[in-house]
Amino acid sequence: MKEWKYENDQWAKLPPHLRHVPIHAANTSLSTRIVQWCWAFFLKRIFFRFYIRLKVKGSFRPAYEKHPRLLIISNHSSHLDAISIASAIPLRYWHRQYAAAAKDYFFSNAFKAYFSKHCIRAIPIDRKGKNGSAIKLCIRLLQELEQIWLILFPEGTRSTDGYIHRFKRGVSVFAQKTNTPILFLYLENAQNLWPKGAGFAKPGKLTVHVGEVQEPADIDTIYTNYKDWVNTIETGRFKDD
Amino acid sequence: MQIWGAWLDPVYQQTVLGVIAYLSVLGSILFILRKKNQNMKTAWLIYLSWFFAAPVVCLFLGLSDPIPHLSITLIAILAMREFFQMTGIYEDYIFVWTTYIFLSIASAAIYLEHYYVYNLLPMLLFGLLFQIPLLKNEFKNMLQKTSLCIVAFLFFGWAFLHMGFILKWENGIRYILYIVILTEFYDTIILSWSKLYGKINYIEKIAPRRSLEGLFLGLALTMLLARGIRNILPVDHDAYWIAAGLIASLIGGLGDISMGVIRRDIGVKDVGAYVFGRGGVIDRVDRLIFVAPIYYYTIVILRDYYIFQ
Repeated sequence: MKEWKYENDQWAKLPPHLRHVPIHAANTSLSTRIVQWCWAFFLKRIFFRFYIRLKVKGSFRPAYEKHPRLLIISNHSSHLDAISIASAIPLRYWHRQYAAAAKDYFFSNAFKAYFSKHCIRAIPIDRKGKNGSAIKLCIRLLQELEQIWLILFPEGTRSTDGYIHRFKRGVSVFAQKTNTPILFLYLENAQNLWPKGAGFAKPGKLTVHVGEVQEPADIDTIYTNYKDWVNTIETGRFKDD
Repeated sequence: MQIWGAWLDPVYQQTVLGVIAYLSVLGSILFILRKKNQNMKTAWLIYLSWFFAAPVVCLFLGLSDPIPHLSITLIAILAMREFFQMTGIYEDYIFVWTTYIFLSIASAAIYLEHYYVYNLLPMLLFGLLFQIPLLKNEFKNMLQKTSLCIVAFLFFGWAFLHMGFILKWENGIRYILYIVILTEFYDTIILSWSKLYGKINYIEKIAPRRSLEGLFLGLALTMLLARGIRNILPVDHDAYWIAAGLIASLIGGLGDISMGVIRRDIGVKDVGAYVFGRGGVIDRVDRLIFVAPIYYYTIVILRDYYIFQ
């Protein structure tokens, strides 16, 4: 008798932290959509309206119209960064956005993993992995998905001193290997609201500046261009100034 | 509006307190031992899933009608969802949603006491599922998908939902709590004893973690527990606790093994989609799928027998 073939690799073969990744999941389940909608509502209509007053300077529209695949990079100093970027992106573009998130933190327990998978659409980055699986996964996503805005923090970790540090190579590798342009964002005041080590965010104002789209280039060029753009908004923000 | 339902019953309160006390003692021991070896780590993770699930389930089952009924239906839907993920038809929306809808109708039929509708549903679903290939103009893997949907419905929409029938009885929640405690207790005993001291394995290929010694010890201790906590049952008669103890151990054990056969055939250990710790919803309810209908009919027969005697 011929054996039945169960097409269950997504659930049976993959580790839980990879099951939601869109190259493995054919569709987003209804429950995930509901959770995402509730999360978006909370973020946009409550948290970033009444608790933290979020202001977006610039527009995502030009990027949306021209670039279905995009790397979004920003300075990183707070846990507010990824969610404030998500909140700044209009809801109609949300289906495109994914955030690269450290596996050892965002997938370290069931609560965080559930939140990371279903709310911030996190792509797990194994910072301790030696075989480059995280880089391969991101490159595969950028190559195979027709629409993806991947949020990356090229400094690699949250800054503790308030300055923007030199970028790690990853972002230029992704951009050059997959020919994906890069959108610059700059987050102003996130560090003061929720610095590394603090238990939770303080109420206050946070501004997301939306910059220009940079063509793929080596990391030094990306860093220099990003620095030049941020200096037009606020000076003295870089460690190597 | 009164929402506290069974929570106002002192027996229910005491039982839930007992369950929490048991989980706390077990949790403290496992927390200390969790790093000792892999077995303890696994036990800790399985415990964690119960640590989160048990209080939530007790809370909702103790509320007023229709919350307990809706809770049981939700558990059945989540288990069915996991079954669809395990078997790989989760993405086939027409099959999956047809079966979900039939499960919901079955639940509504039980709640509204339209038993003829409930009895008709498996046949209706059977007929309807075979129309889906015509609708999709497709034949590949259709027999497989139809069969899996029917199995899913029979497991979760038919067998497991007998819990809903039991809920309709006076103090039905106490019958449910009693059988769930016994079933889980038996499983804990057979697994831990077999792991530590088990020598004779009676079905090595299907259930390598279960030994004959564990089975007998589990049966004996479950019968003792059934007698010890028999005051949870609303009926004070020896036949009821003896029947419940036997069903929880023997039928519950068979249910667990039968689900093991399915898992091994599919090649999935567990999906563990939403329950914290280790294992998913199916891991929590697999024994009850087989226990629920037999428990229900046994109690019905016993009631009839003692009423007409």
